[in-house]
Amino acid sequence: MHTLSQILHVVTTVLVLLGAVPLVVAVVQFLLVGLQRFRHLYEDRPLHTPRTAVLIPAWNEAPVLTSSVEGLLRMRYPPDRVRVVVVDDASTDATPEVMRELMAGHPGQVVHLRRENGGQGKAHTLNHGLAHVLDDDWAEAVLVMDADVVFDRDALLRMTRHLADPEVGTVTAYIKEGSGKQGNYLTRYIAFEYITAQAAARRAQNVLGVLACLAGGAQLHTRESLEAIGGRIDTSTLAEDTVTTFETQLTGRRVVFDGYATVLAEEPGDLTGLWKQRLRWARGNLQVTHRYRHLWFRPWKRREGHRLGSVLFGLIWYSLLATPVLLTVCSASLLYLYFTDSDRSWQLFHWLWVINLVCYLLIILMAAAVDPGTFRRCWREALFYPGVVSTCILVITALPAVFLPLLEKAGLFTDDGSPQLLMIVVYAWMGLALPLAWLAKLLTGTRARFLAPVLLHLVGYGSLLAACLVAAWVQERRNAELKWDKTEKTGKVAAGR
Amino acid sequence: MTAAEPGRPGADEDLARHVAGLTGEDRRHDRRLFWWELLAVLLVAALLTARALWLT
Repeated sequence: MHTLSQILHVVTTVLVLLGAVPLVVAVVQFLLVGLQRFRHLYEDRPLHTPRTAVLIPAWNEAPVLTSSVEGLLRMRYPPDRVRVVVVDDASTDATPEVMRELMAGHPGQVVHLRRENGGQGKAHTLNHGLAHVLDDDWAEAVLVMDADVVFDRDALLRMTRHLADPEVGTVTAYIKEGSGKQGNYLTRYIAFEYITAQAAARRAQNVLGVLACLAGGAQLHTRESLEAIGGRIDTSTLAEDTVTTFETQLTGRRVVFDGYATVLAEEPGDLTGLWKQRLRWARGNLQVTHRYRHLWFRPWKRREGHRLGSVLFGLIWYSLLATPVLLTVCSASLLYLYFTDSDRSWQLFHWLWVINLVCYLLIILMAAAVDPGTFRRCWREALFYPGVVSTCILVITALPAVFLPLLEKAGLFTDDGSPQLLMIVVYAWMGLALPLAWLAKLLTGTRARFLAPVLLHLVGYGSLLAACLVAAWVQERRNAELKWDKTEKTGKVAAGR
Repeated sequence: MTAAEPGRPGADEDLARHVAGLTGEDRRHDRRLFWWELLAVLLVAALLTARALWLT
């Protein structure tokens, strides 16, 4: 019995330590951000402005098309070297009329392709356009974008300069949440998420020499690169952008993220829309994980001309996917230790939250340095990104000498060794936050929907994403139908520029 | 296409200068980011040290 108890102690200790893996990986990733300068991405090269076909898949995008296309044609780029091809996926709104006007206003520069049998999703729509674009030899590069995104005037020039390097197959831009002053708490959370997950994390991936995913709304491919992957976008998964990223790198070409080429995009402003979008992304990522199972953690694959097998890249990928499991198991192990060896549980808990604190501080400081403009808009959401409860736990564990006496005075904590409700909730919190985040999403469809934002602030935006990942995993296990649910757009980004 | 190609020599030179300016600016920003990162790491390390020495 004693041996069993010892074994259980060791196992639970290891499981608690495993809970720190995503945090440690995040810290390592953020430490790489500043090292991008040593990758020499911004060398002086001769001007390179390839003839670029801009491919816009569109389904009922009439409200945003005019401003998007006009904006593209106003970009600083030789006008005779850009062509905009809008692939209309059997739209039922005024898209055909809008396109007729645009073509009349820009003869030879704007093309309208219409699919009469649409509704199969973005990848099919893109393939229709790619077949047209690659049919003649005019296009030397293809820019794939979304109808609602707004490119910075220099974004295309910034992207094409990387294509002067023959090793580069694809370049992706930094998609910023673009609702600005019209946004709400959720879009500000997304804005902060994009600074960390795109502007910072993709810089770190530039340093590692391997990119996980191209931004769907702004990806520039050389013609050769597209042809090398078959001239088509994958239609078998919900993560066509990630598959394109992996396939491009498997052909030995580099994929580069340019954090200075910025593009504004409209993101969901309500929990239902966000859940739908992230569920699709999470399911896509699970499919990609399975599809490329022969690549993970195989650093020797570098000999084949890519770094998709790099150990750190694998850790980055899997630590995101495994976060819900790790957090739940970590919480359960802490609780077990709390009831059997409270000293050890406190020690482990303390170390776990100190690592969490390092991660939190580093991410906030780096986010402020990477994109100060966006950070100024969303710094409050950044501070409470882990959730109000977790932020309080962070502060208390950072300064126990200050706060524990206060808690004792308030009667919430006693140091007599007996189990206490507060400690049980605190130890269980990482696991508990996931079902509560899911509850916040459920509340959006009820009369108590006003509670959803309150709950989200309490549990944290990250918990919502983790809960979404669990839901995606359940859907995948059940082989639920693969549906390409388009995110509803209002055109406020385009209208606001 | 490069600036050396015939067609629009003046416009291409202007554009080449503009791109060179953008690239220089981005390179400087990348360098600055490195120093900001170092500062952030030092700040976090200082906070942890202060916490270990005086605040726990």
